[in-house]
Amino acid sequence: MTRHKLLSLGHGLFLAFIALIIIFPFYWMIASSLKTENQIFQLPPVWLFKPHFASYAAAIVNDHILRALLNSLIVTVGAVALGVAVGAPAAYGLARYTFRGSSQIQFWYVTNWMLIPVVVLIPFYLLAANLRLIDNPITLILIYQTFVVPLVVWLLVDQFRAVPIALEEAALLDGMSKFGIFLRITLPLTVPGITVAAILAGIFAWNDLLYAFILSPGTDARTAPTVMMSYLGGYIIPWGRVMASAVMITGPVVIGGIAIHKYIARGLTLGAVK
Amino acid sequence: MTEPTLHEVKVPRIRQWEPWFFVGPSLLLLLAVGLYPTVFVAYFSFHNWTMGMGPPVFNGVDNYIETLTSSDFISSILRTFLFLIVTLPIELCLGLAIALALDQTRNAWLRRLVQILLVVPIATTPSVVGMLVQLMFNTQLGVVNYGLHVLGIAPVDWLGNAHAALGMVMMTQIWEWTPFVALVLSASLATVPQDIEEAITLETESFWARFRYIKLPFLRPGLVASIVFQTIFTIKTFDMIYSVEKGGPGDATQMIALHIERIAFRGFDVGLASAESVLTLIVTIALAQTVVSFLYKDEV
Amino acid sequence: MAQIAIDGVTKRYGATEVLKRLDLTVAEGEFMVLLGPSGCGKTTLLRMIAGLETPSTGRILIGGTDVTLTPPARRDVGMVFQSYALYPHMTVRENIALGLKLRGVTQAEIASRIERVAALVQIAPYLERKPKALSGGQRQRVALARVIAREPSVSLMDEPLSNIDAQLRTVMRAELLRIHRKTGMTTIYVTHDQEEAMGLGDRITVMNFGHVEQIGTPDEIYARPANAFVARFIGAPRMNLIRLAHRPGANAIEAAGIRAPVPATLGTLPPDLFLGFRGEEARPGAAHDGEATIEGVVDVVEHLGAQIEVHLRLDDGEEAVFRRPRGETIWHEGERAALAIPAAHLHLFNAETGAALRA
Repeated sequence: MTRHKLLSLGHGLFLAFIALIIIFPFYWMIASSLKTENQIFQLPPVWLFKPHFASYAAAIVNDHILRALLNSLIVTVGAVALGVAVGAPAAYGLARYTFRGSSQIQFWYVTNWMLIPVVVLIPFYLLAANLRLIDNPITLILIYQTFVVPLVVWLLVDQFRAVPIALEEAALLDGMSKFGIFLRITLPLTVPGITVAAILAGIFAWNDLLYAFILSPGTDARTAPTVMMSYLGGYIIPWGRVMASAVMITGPVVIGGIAIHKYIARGLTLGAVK
Repeated sequence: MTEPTLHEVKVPRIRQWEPWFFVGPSLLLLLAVGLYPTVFVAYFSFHNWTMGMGPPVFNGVDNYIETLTSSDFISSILRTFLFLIVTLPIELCLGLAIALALDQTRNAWLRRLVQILLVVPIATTPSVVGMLVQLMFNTQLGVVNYGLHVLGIAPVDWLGNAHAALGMVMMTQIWEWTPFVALVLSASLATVPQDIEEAITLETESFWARFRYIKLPFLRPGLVASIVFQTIFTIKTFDMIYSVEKGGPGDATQMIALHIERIAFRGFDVGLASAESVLTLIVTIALAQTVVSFLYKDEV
Repeated sequence: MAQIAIDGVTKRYGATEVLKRLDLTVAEGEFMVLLGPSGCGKTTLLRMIAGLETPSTGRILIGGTDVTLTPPARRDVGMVFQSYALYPHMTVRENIALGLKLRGVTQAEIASRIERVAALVQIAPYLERKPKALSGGQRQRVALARVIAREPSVSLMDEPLSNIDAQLRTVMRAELLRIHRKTGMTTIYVTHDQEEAMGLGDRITVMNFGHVEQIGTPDEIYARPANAFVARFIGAPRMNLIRLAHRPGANAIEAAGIRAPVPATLGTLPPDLFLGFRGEEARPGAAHDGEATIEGVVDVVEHLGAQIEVHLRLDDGEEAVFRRPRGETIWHEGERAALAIPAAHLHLFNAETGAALRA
């Protein structure tokens, strides 16, 4: 019995240690955003201090972080909306029909998910430059489809399969069209699953740096992660402001991630892990 | 008596096309944003072209020869490989340990907390992680070196020393992605049926025997998924490393994705960058095929 | 082989008491069936004997040793799970071998035991298959083989036949008995199927709401149910229980359509009673001396093959059910009919406590 208790204590300590390792950088970020520039680098660290919100004010005034957050929001919502609009019907088609090439198509989405961003970036940049679409949110919304669509499709195929077919057959006998059934019977039943897919895809769209800083570098067009990079240009890095911006940028994705934490493993592996 | 003729039922064409109404739009979109650019990359890879300097000129496989003989490319490939073979086993071991501890612990509150916290590193914006790393690993004033000092270890020049910088980036990668492995393996452990767990407790008390004969077989798909996906995520890694030091100091942390980005968007050599992209793409497609054949066996 | 003793065992989950101070002894080599409706605590009790649950109070002894806190692997018990719990990634042979290997049995001995057991439960042709490739009945045999090969001192079975179809179930029931006779393992068998319990058990423990209603041989439980719950639970069709009022001092109980003698030896009766009788003990026609009569309108006649089932509606609305031989043509729906039941087959229960009233 004592051996059991000891083992249990060991598990507990290990998990507590892991929790600490995960949370410490986060704590450091938040603490630094609330410290004065002097306190940030004080060693030993200042554990107790009066929170000071000047960094937030400065980030908002000097770095136009709110504008960047708005840009991120536009791009993210746009990308997710488009991805769900084309991805959900696709998932439904794959869930309910078997047709020539259907499995190849389903796997082609996986290939897109694994695409290395920098590969498509070069031609995309050239194209966007030609069409004068640099700094236009449409460009990012489109290129984000390379990962939004596969995520949405793969997460929703299972969701649609779980809807009893008898329900759709009943609607068919009642005279509904196939698309009407999808829209008014199946889709409403899978709203929770769609929400999970949308949040997961949204996290990736929001977090993207590479596409965003190449395709949308303008001061008024840049997204939040690009603002992070802009701090590196200066001679001195204003760490208080950086961390204040960091808190504002990560807040939404961390909350979104926690909301769907049960589905992260399934999502990132496109359903390979149940 | 003649047999009555049996008429074949002809399904109207339109019904055969039905699935394509659902699948079509997404395919067109992905063809446009995924495949079409890829074709362009392949095209550029056989041309000599620097952005903004006249039209592309066909140069056969010159770009490929240059790529494969470029020590810069080779070393960023090797560095990416090194990065992978150091971080992946650590992520797997640690992830497995976390998954097992979560499975075993009786402290439901702690389990819940850790399960939620595991999402945090995955969801956190990588460029923010990069900036945070710069702050925490600062040589004189960073909290990491302070921690080492408390433990009686001399400060490390994390951002300036090539080896230390690579180590730092590896640690950060491990922090970001071990939770993914832990979550995947946790999900696999959850597939061990309750009755099977009980059946084996009637046979042995040894944790090792239970792990080896029962848990491990159930973990196998999760392990394969972790390895394959984590390999891909590692090759894709760009944002975090770029925001730490843009691949520096020097080229100490320059992975393949950063290398291509530098050639294309800082050197403007589209032809060369395209050739490197194509080579990388081949590796990725091979990996994607592995995924398809190993992981989705039961699907479709 | 070992004797099992359950000594004052209680099991609580939070505020709910699943088992209430339970005492039970199972003799060496005995086939004991725990019978009861779902939620009565029978599976919990079995799992506590296995060591998968820990009692809240009391002790569990196997072969005289207190094992209340002994880890399952050191109790030397084998268990057939309801879902069989075969290791899906192992072949049948590996499934059987694992427990032996972990206990340090030599390779040669393992091989010979598997051979013996495979012959006993007739799975020799499937030894190299994985559970997925087996039918329900075959999996059942493998689960059984896994336990038998281990030669545990106690074998526990948790509704092992509930997941196979009805025909195969009767076959497996006979098989289980044959194997039990051959191996002589002390066996505790959980089921909610009274027919299975009657067929298999040397003795049956009838449980309800976490306590024991009656322990006895199948015959005792059938013929002399200790209370109304056991009377209702055992036998198909179930015993007819008809609620009656008893006027103090009367030497018979009467109600609409029923008249039954009361033996003087029973003493004073409570005012509120259940009269119990099994349909198969009744015969059509008027009652003789000392017999009970029951009279009503034939409601429905159901044909069951070898028998017919007659539903008699009594005048006060209660229903009694009788099985009669096929081809008996005296029953006409909507007509009145009367039956007689010998006094020896009458049961009286206190309607308030449920306890049987016996001389």
